[in-house]
Amino acid sequence: MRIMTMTAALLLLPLPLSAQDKPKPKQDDAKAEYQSLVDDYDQTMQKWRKEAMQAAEAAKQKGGDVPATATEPPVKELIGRAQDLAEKYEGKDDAVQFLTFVTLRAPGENHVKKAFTTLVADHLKSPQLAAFVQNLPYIADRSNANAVELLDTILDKNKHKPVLAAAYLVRGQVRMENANSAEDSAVAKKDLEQVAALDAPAELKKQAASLLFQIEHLGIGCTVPEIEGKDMDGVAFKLSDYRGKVVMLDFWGFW
Amino acid sequence: MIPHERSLVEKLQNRPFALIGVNSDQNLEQARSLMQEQKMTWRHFYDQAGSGSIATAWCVHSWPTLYYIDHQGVIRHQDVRREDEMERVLEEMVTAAEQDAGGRKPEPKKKGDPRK
Repeated sequence: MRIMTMTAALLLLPLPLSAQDKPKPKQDDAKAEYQSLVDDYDQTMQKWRKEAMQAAEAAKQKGGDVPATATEPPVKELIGRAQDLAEKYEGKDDAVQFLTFVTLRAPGENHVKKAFTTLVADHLKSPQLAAFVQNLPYIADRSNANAVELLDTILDKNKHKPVLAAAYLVRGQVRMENANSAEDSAVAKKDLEQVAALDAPAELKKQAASLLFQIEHLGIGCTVPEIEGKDMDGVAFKLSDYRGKVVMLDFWGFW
Repeated sequence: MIPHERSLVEKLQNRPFALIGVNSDQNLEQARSLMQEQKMTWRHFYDQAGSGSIATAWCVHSWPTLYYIDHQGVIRHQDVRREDEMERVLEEMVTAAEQDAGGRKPEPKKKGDPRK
């Protein structure tokens, strides 16, 4: 469960392949094609979310069923476009971003599996694999694959630093989530320390540092880090004010 | 969750125990009035979401997240959620705190603790 939510957080990161360069309206430019695909997807989803919410609200008021269009986003055509583009660049590095797009966003299991299989068969050495790797726990879950085994293979075969950094980060994170002993945590820690050693992109470094903090200071048996803050009435207080008492600390919200 | 927490706070009120919330609601006023409505008398850090927040520093990715901290400030358990488990764990920790504080037991009806 926690892995899923963490992965969802990773998904919110901008995919490094998409955000950088401004699209040039050149016909055979994979980067521009990708950018326009992502833009269209975002627009479609935005519009659909709005309509779906309205439809659900209307159904609730009438007491009827929520229409099917409100539960499934209309992305069939966009997924098809991504698949066509992946085919156009078949065997080349440029295919990776389109295949990754499908593994992340296609609603149907078959599309996901097919793109996933192609990525694993043809592209594990690609310099463009970072976005796929960053979202691998989620994608592996969608493809019934073993994320850690695949990360082992990628770390073995791929030689590109941004990909390796992402792979160490994600493997460390998965190992940490599954850790049952101090030894398990130590192994996870080694992975996370590699991220800094590899001179990774700032965002990955930040995530690794935060996970290392979690292992070093928030594990069972650790002395709890200080919290200094204000209560709901604006009165300042500290967690250590409660030394001598057992504290149950509850992160929560009404939302 | 909230009714059970309320009953824990009531049950352990004369013993060395504190429930402390870290509330990440966007709207402080609304959260405050809901807390009153729900009779949540325990203290909370108000933690506005963002990069400087407590939840971010503590790498909290799912809510609720629970930490059980003993009287010496050592983390003993995390994410125990089942109500009977929660009570067992807390009873054990609170008893240890009482013994360290001088062995006084404000609740004498509880007996047969295997500790010395």
